[in-house]
Amino acid sequence: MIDSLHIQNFLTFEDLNISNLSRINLIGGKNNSGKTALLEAIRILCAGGDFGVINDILKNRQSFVEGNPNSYDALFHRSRLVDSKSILRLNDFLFERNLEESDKVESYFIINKNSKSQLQASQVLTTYPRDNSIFISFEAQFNELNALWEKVVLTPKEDKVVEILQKTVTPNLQRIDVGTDKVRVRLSDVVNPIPLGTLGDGVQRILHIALGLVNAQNSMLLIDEIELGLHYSVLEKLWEMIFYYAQKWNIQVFATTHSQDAIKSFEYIAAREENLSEAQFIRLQIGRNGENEGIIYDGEALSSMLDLALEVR
Amino acid sequence: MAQQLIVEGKDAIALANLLKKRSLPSPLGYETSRKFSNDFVKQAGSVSKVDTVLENALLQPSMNNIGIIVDANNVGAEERLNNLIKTITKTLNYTFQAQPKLTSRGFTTRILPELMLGIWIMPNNQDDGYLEHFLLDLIEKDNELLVFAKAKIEELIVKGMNRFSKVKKEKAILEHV
Repeated sequence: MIDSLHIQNFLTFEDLNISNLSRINLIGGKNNSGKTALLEAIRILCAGGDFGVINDILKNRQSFVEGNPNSYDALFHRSRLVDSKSILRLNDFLFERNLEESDKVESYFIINKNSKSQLQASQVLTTYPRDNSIFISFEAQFNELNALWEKVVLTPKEDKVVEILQKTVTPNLQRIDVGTDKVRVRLSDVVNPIPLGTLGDGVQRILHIALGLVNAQNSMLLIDEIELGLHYSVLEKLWEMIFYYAQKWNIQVFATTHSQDAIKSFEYIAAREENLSEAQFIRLQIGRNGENEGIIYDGEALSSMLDLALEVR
Repeated sequence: MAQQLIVEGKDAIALANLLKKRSLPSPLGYETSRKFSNDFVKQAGSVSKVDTVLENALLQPSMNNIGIIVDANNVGAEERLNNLIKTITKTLNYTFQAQPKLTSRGFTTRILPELMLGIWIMPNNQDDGYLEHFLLDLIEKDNELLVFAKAKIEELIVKGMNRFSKVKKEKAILEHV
């Protein structure tokens, strides 16, 4: 579990300090407030600064040019990228940009953790980023889903995936088969297997999140825009599953949202006795003093905000 | 620029209608009555919830104008003001240069370059009482209906037939005016 986050000079964040993190954290805020950036910071932290992960993040942001060290400039907050040496910080990780030898990736971009180890970028590709967390983006690719499936197929966790889908969105689901390019399912009331795609985007999204959940034991599950394609009633059941397995399997969850439905259903589940003190909502914003802020609402505070129909997003 | 009026009780619709009746313009950005009653006027319910609503407004950097209307009841206008000031001080980590004081026109101040604040304690920023005392003052004293309603409400109290608490007598009168 990450208990606190201190991010400096990274993407949207000039300096963000969140002193308390819960097991389950729902993150809101306006566009460009840094919701995805916060997930990416955690991804890098969990991966121990692995360059495959960093490159993958840059690639998702259309900022990665292979072999070009200047690509990494996009990671730094724009206002701090002025000197020949710039420092980017994610908790105790320090990333140093050294422009004096800008032709070499390894000297251009150095990672220090407590000044003990030094990793090198060299020729790391993005095809297989060595994530230690599970990141589910809002435009998740089939190969990501497939990779998660490969880790659980023919294990008891495969049954858990089916169970999560049954309890959230497809009660008549019997079995899942993930092929190289498509997912097929067997439903109790249909003789032949049918493509998952015919059940709608929401079902595929739930499958991806369920796979993320069963693969994230003792680690992190990061979900960008959790509400995508999901009806509000499904969201509540999904939160129920996330809360249950996060506690059972020691998973820390960070999810972002723009949706009032996602927040409302989150609050319903967070307010249950067994979940109190396990969850919080964080709104990212630029405060009145012009600085990055993470306003934290614990379960109780979130309930009173919603009771009063106040805007928390 | 966003603005918000935090009101103890449920007076948003009444306020919206009052503006309309007096041909006063709605606040900028809150022209439709739904937006006015949902977003501009925040109904805090009981006074204990005003703090939560106020804290939320203060924590939203885009909120530039915040007005607060609460009842003095029998707690007193000064104490109501002081409690609100405490919430402001705590939430914004802000220290007032001088002790805020109520005048007959309430308390207004610009506490940050981008934040104007106004506090009004019903009925008159001075005495105990509530919104209805203020509203009763607006009605002409010899208004026929008012005189009648007052007499009948008094009669109910004398006969012990009142189903409202005596402290809420003014609310009961206004119900019938």
